Amino acid sequence: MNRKLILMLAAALFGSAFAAPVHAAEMSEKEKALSNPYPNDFGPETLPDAVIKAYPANVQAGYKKLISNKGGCAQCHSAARPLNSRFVEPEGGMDEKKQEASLAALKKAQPELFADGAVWQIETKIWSRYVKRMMNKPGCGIAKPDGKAIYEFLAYDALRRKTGANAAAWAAHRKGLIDQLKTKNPKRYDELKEAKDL
Amino acid sequence: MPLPPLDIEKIKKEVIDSQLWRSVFRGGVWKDTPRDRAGHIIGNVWLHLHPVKVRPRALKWAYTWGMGGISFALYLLLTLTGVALMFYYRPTIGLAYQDIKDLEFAVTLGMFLRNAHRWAAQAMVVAVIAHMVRVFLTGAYKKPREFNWGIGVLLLTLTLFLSFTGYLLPWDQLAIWAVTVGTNMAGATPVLGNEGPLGSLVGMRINNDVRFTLLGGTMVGENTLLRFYVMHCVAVPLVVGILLILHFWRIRKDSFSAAPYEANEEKVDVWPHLVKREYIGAAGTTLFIMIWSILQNAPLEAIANPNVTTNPSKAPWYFVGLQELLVYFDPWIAGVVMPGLIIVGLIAIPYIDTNPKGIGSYAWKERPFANTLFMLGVVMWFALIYIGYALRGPNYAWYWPWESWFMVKPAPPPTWSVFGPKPDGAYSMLLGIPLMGAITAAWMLLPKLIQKELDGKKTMGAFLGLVALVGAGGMAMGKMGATEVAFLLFFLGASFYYGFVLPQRHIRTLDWPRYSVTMVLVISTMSVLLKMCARLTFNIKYVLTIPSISMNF
Amino acid sequence: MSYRKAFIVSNALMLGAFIWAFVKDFRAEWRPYQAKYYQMAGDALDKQAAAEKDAKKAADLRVEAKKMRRSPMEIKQIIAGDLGRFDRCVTCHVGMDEYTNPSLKNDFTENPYKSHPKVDSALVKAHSFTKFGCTSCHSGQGLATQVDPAHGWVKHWEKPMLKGVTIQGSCVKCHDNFETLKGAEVAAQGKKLFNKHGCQGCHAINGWGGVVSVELGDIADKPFERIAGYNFKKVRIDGKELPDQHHNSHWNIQNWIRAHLVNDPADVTPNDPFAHYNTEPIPPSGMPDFTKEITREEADAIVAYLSGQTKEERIPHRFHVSAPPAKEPALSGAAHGKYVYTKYGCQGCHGIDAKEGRRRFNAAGDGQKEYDEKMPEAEQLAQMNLGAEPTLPKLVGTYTHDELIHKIEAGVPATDAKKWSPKGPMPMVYMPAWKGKISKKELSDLATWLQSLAVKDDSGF
Repeated sequence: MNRKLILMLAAALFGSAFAAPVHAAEMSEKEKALSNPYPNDFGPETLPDAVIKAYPANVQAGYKKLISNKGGCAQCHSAARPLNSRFVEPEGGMDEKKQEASLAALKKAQPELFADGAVWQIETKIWSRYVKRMMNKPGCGIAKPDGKAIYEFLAYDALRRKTGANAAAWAAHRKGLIDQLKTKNPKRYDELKEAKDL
Repeated sequence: MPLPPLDIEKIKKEVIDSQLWRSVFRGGVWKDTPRDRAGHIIGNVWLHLHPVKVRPRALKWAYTWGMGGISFALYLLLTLTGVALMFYYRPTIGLAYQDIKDLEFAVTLGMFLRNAHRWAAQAMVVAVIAHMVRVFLTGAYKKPREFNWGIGVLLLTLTLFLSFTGYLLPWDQLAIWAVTVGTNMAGATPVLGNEGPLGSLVGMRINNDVRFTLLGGTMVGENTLLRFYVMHCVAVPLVVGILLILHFWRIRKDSFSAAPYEANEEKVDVWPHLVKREYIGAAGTTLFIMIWSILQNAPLEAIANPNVTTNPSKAPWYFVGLQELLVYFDPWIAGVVMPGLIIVGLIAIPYIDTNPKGIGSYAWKERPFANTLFMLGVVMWFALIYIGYALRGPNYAWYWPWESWFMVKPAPPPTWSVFGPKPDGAYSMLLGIPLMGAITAAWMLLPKLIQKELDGKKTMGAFLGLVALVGAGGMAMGKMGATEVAFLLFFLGASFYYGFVLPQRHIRTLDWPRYSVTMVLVISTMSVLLKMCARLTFNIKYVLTIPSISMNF
Repeated sequence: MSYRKAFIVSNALMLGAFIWAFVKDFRAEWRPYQAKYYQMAGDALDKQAAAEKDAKKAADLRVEAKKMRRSPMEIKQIIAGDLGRFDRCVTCHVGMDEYTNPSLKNDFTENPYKSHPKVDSALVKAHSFTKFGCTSCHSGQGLATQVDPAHGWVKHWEKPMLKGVTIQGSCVKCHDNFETLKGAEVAAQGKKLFNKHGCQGCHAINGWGGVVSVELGDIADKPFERIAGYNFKKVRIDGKELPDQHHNSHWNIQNWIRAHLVNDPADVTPNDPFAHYNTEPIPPSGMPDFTKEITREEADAIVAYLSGQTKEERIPHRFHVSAPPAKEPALSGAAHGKYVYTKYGCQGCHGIDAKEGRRRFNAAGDGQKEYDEKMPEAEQLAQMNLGAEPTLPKLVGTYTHDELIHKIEAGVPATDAKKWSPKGPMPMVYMPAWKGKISKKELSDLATWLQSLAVKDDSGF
């Protein structure tokens, strides 16, 4: 009887030994981007359909390219980054002088847009520079016509969505993103604030 | 002109009878008579520890192996070479390594001297262990020789300690890291060590615990070197000398050979019969050490660098078995409790062994339990040494002897613990502690409680069959492979046989105190096998972990 | 055998063994060299005596020759106490021992009999043997009296004798002014090359330089324990593997440094980018491949320079030769910007003259295929090796002057990299933040120069 007891206990012990190992999880691209985030990254990754449908055809094409994972901006970082950016390029297209004139007009019409650099950064050719900058990063591979379409979207969209009648709504949205950064990643918030890159 | 004939005998007699000679040597002209033979022994201070006559059975090499005498001869050799080395060696970290290099390159016979000292030290460790095995197998520790056996165990410990302290003196990478591994075990001492269980509760810190006392600091450094030098050259040899005197005295008082008296036994003269054997033994030992020292140089690595740890860092070979145990146990068990149990256990053997058979002879059949378990311990000790020495490479990963240590090995699989507080243990500590306690208690008591002697073959067959069944089930469920089942059969089979069947068959008739002590030692030995099994088969790190008091089993 | 016989035999054997040990010790490696030297020197003196016209002088020479031949065989050493050196080289190299050969000159041509070369030169005269010993310049194991151990060509001696031009590394140890020092030209060239190819962009020397990779100010002291044998086995010098095992003369720090210049460092240190042996992938060495840029001679010059980067030597202050820092050339504008680019080692990552970004393992790069999990590992490795740092001429046109300065000041952290293989390792190389390290004026001129390199923009928007 004693022997049986021991053997039963032994069997019970062995049975309990078959525990499953634990696997480690992998970080997704979005999580990794959020390790060194900008306030932009906390915003939505797409624009509402209603907004997009109101845009001209070429601008819509540019938007589609932007959010695409292949040959678009989202292949390297979340599309939220450009969509919620503080950059605004004045109207005028390739003509710099025209852009400067639009910029001066905007300064007169809505001086409040030039008060908070973290909400609006309005400079001539700013989107043109940024899109080209991104395109020339190694491994980007965005074709030049696609780049142009993306640029046209960004320039058009920023002016419509972030200035004029929508300025206040945009300011609230943008400030909300900055607050999110402050609470979720205070260290990064301080870094960017010091570098004037909020 | 021819010279007058020389009367050698007359000249000899005149010289020996002269005042000068007589004042030093009191014997007079040597006539090979029993009186003169006795006189030689009694009249000489070095020889008079011997008896005048001795039983011929005690002289046989096949009986004694000569290991006690060889150990002593090596000790004398070490003292001689050690003193000679002291002329050249300065125990400070700026000079020690350079002095060893000087011995190697500039001192006449310096390399030979150093080699002789090192190889004699290694040989002495082997010799004293062989001596202990021989004394055990001939039952020469039983009544009335228990105390002398205890002295012998102390001498064994001190021999290892001498070798360990000497290991540090060349102050090279081999030395500093081997001693670091060894002394870090001291930090894991329960209560007295800052990293041991309950140590922090008593106020032990890294700069006031027992390891600190040993090292003279928090790391192996200048103070350690000086301290070890003094212990190695002065303190421990003195203690060993005192104990050796006691050891020899007891041997003499206990009539020199453990063989029981037979009527009409004809004794023989110690001079020359014992003395000549002692001389040949010592001469052979010396010759062996000399030739070894000519043919092989003692190792010397780069100068000790506390910032660069060698990978792997290993303790000296006689401790590397305990280092291998560190894979399976925490330092306080592998480095403190196990060695402690070994020493205490060895000393206890004469007191728990009541079998009157086999004193003074190799009684294999009459002492099945004693011989089997002792030799199991010896075999395990050397097996662990072999594994730790030859089969562990960088990062202490397993490297077969034919595998180059430059080969990269994958990281070991993750481990888990059975009982402990979440998240450390898979199951609750509150279940684990009583369960482990119950199993240990059951194991302790059952062999004695089962009155009838078990049939060894049948019991083992049934047990192995059960293990095989569980193994087959595990394999079918995909949870175990063939290797794991093999491990289970081997380790569990061995633990059951040596830990349960043999005690049940042989010592269940012992009185409770002796039985308990024996079972504690047996279970501790089996715990090594079982823990190895748990780790190799199921990747179990701790069976029971109590992190709050640093106590992990 | 009877005990009596055993007694005699064992005693005889012990005596024999002792004699054997003594003879073995007596037949030291150094003895024949020293003996031969005395003979050779004696013969030379006799020859001189035979050619001498003056009878008295000839007789004196012959006496000298006799004395030389009978010189005692002994271990000779130079004790350079201040430097803690006990150099026994002169036990074999008797021609360099000032007691046996006071003029320190002889006509012998082979080692170890010949005298030290160029004893009349300013270099050797400035470094008397009594003050410096031998090993403070030549390295090696001065305490040894056997050939291979003395030259340091044994296991566990990590400072072997320096061969050829590498000895100039020893000049660097004490001489701050080695760049203008006669006799240290190769080491000076090594430093120039170190700066030309941008090494200091990632490797600081005594704090001066980038922090992306290891500080090289004590590289000559690097313990072998920290170099995996697995990696040393991958080194190929002149196309050949380095023999290891007992005779470790080739596994030394000089060859380890050389391997980084004459081999692709990613081949020497491939690590574990597919996590076969570790829980996480570990990228290979981030150092670019300089084999096409640096010749074997240039590599040796850099090795010589870096062999002098040691902190282990406690060189007393009076041995140190200080020098004023080199003056910066008086430049301005874009020319100054180009100088700044080289000064801080930007070319280490962005290429000489900013022509092309260097390799950046597992980062995005031009010409990469799209990541496919099922791609075989060898192909994945090739794709990951196509990752690169930005090619500046393409980018600088997209920044304004101020934006560019800001960018250099802020740097780009490693986590900003887009990985080609999401499962692969994080790219090791990153751009440090240069704020506070490059002055505002330097940054401005640097930006000016960089923008002068911008390619023409033909994107159409």
